[in-house]
Amino acid sequence: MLLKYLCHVGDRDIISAEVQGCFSDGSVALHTRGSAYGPKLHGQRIQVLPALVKRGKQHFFDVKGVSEL
Amino acid sequence: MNCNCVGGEVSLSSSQLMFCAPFPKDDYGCMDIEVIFGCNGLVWVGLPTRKASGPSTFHPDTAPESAAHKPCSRVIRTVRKLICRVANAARILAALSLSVDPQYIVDVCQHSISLGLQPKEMLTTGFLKHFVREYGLT
Repeated sequence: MLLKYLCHVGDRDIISAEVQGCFSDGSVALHTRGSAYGPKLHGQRIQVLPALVKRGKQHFFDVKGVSEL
Repeated sequence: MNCNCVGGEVSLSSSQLMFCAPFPKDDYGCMDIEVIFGCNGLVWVGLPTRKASGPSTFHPDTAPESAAHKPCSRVIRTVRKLICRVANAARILAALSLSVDPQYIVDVCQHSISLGLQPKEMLTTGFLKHFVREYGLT
């Protein structure tokens, strides 16, 4: 399973996933449950101060009502 | 381009033939932009992956090998500009130490559109000053 994922996700690729667990050896179990998760393509990642991001139940948003010129 | 018409057949010469990948119809209608806010300050702005409800559309067992590590090749210019506009709106809010909130992002985008600005022009000092003055942030 892992090898099949590595075929589709390379180094420095961005994926969204739920963290199922962190282990003592430093490994992390990720789970791509639901259609919102998986490799992220066609976009850009930006970095802001963590304090500027409000914590909430929902961190996925669809920006609607904006149309390009 | 030269056209030679012989017996009802047209032959073209001195020209170029280009192959363009066709876009699915969905790409023209899909103008929603997905924004994911990470608690660590990382913000992802891109095309939504969940176009339909239900289980994950990505399965390593069924995904074709040919789709692996493919570069971005099917994002039309309008959608690309919209992604840049939304990302720049988040950058502006962060630069002004304002909360990076979905509603504020929409406000900044609509304000820049109302001024007729291109996405790259949103990061100029002039727009920042105008935005600060307009929203009374001074």
